[in-house]
Parts: sequence; structure tokens; C-alpha cells
Amino acid sequence: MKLPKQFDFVILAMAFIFILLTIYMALIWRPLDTNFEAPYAQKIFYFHVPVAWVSYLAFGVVFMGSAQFLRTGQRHWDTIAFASAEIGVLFATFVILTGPVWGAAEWKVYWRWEDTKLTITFILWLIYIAYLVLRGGTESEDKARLAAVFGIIGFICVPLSFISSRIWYSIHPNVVATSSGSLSTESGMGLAAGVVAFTFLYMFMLRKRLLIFELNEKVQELKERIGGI
Amino acid sequence: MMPQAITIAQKDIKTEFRTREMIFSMVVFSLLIIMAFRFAFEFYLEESTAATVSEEVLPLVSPILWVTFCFAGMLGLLTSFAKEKDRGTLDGLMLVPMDRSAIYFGKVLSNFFLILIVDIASVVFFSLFFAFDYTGNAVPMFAVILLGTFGFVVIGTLISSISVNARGREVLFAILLIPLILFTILLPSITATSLALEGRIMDAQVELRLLGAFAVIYIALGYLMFNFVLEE
Repeated sequence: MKLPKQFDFVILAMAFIFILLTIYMALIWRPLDTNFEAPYAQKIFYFHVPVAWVSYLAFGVVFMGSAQFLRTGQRHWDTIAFASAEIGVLFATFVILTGPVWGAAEWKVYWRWEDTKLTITFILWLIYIAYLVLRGGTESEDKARLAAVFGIIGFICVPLSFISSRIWYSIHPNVVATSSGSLSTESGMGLAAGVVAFTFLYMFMLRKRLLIFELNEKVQELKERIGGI
Repeated sequence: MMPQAITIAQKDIKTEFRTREMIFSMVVFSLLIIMAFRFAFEFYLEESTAATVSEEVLPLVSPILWVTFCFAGMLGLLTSFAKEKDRGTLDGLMLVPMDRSAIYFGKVLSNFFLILIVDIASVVFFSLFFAFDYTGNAVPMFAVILLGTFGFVVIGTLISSISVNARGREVLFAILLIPLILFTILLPSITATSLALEGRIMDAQVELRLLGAFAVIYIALGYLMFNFVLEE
């Protein structure tokens, strides 16, 4: 994590370039997909899926950071987990908001409670909000350990929730797990650009959030040195 | 480890029955929840006669029962560690030269026992308030309740030990626990209980197997994680 400051600029520039590329590919280059009832609304796919990917990535990082913190006891793993959880919840919120926008156009309803994928994403979102509530604002050693334990339990709970839905019912389109290739190569390229763009954005946000933590600690240290609170 | 866990469970149950403070409030709370549901469904059940009421109530039974178990049970789970913490006896337990997870398993056993009493009370209250007859399906229904409650207690005790150290633990406990059990415990339990009441318990094999599997996974999680929670 001890990379030079200029590195942040490179990450941000990459994110910016790829976001522009995604916008171009999604809105201009790709023709309207007439397989869908609402071809214009289908364009949200290039935003929705990468954002969903980033939220899963972020929650995975929370799990890894929590496990590493419990194993090694090093503080910086805990800050990584916390920062990642915040970003993950933000991106998961975007997933939950953009989904119904598309659903309203395509399915004519905003939400389908019977759809496994939708409800599990919702549960995931709730679990990590609970994680953030547990973390609260305080920075005590105790809190970090408890949050790490919950971060691990929460992450394990998600696949369990998936299994527990008796009828594996989902009309949500499949992106990754299709063998028949429902996604054309060109659309896949647009999607890949989006995934790369948002992954860079995630990295940038994570590094900035960690920097803020670091500065906070420094301020606290300075305050203590001059005898303040 | 198991004998120590049983000793801790016995200690908990003994202290509880000396005052009967917690079990009493849990039973009263479950009574109030069932009563609230009775009045909430008053409009729906207004027209029903003694002959038809059982049929009309049938779809309501397992959701109402499980919501009651869940909330009344949470009251008990919440205090199982909070009491120890407030009296300063948790430190005493931690000083005992034994595997820390014995504390966890002891708490699981005592909570399971107390919540089962509340479950039975709720089932009785339900049949009184809704004039519902369990006729012949009571045994499979209790089997499902036993299994579901066990899973609920296993994860609930672990979360209780986490939230007890945090600020505003009462609210936090509910926020942490409900998303975790929604799909893994509540949904399979409600489906299986409904099937049991319809006399089709054999159709609920998937749910029962899931409940069993989740209980095992949550026990493993509790065993692995509890040391980290208490570490001081």
C-alpha cells in the first residue's frame, strides 16, 4: 500500500478514460438491442453490471481484510475492510437503484420479490449496512475485532442465502453463467470496458479513503501532542 | 469441553429460574405479539364461523408463529450475554481454565432451553387466540420448530456476543441478526412449518435438510469465531 502519490493520478486517469470509452461504446457504438422489450432501457446494463461487479469485489475485500486482521492483528487490514465496506455499500445502492429503473421498463414492475437474485442482493446490502452500523464512528481496537468477525459471518451468509431459496427462480438475465453465449462479443467488450473502468474507480476511492484514515490518525496524534482532546 | 458447557448451561438455567425474570417477560412478550396479530387480522377473520376458522387461519399459522418466536427469542438472546457483562461475571467465566468455546456452547444450550419454553407458550397462545386446532400435525410441527429454533439460537448467540460489547446493543443486535437469519433460518422454517401443518411433512425434506446444514455451519462459525469475540 506504500505506493507513490502519482500512482493515484494514474488510477484516476485510467478510470476516467475507461468510463469515457464505456459511455461511447454503450450509447453510440452499440446498436439498440431489439431482443428486449425496452431497448433504450437496456443501455443501463453497461452501468448496472459493472457496478454490481464492483460491489461484490468490495465485499470480497471486506472478507479478506477481516480475515487477515483477525489472523495478523495488523490495523491496516481493518482499515482496508472498513473502507471497502463503505464503498461496497455505495455501489450496492447503485445496483439496487438502477435495477428497478430497468425493471420498470422491461418487466413493467419495479421489483420482483420472488426473484432470488434481486432479494439476495437486497439482503447483501442490508448485511453490510449492519456492518457499517456496527463499526459506527469509533475507532477502538474492540470494535475492529467485532466488525471483523461480523464481516466474515456476513460474507459466508450470502451463498447460504442463495442455496436456501427452494425454487431457484430467477428471470433476471444471466450475464456470466451462460454457455450459449447470450451476450454478443461486442456487447461483451462494452461490458468489459465498464468493468475495468469501475474497478479502477474502486481502487481510486479505496486509496483515497485509506488516505483519509491515515490523515485522521495523524491529526489525532498531533492533538494529543499539544495536549488537546 | 462438553461437560463444561453443560455446567455453564445449568448455571444459567438455575439463575434464571431463581428469579424467572427473563422467561416471564419473554412469555408475556410473545403473548402480546400474538394478541397484536389477532387484532391486526380481525378484519380478515371477521366473517369466519367456528366451522371455517381453521381453514382460514391455516396460511397465517407459521408466519405468525415464527415472527413471534423470532422477536420473543431475540429478547432472551440479547440478555444472555448482557447480564453477564453488566454484573461483571463474564470476566469470571473467561478466567476459568477451559476452552473459551465452552462458554459459547453453554450459552447455546441454555438459550435453546429457554426459547423452547417460549415457543411452546406461543403455540398455545396462538391456538387460544385464533381458535386454531393443530389436530394430529402437532408432532411434525414441533420437530420443525425444534430444528429451526436450534439454528436460530446458534447464530443468535454468536451475534449476541458481538453486539454486547458495542454501544446501543439492543438496536444493534436486531440490525445484525435479522438480515443473517432471514433467508437461512426463517424462510425454510416457515415453509417447513406450513407443510407440516398441511400434513405434508415429507414434502419439506429440502427445507429440513437445509436447516440442519445451516445449524452445522453456524455451529462451526461460532466455534471458530467466538475466541476472537471474547479476546481481551
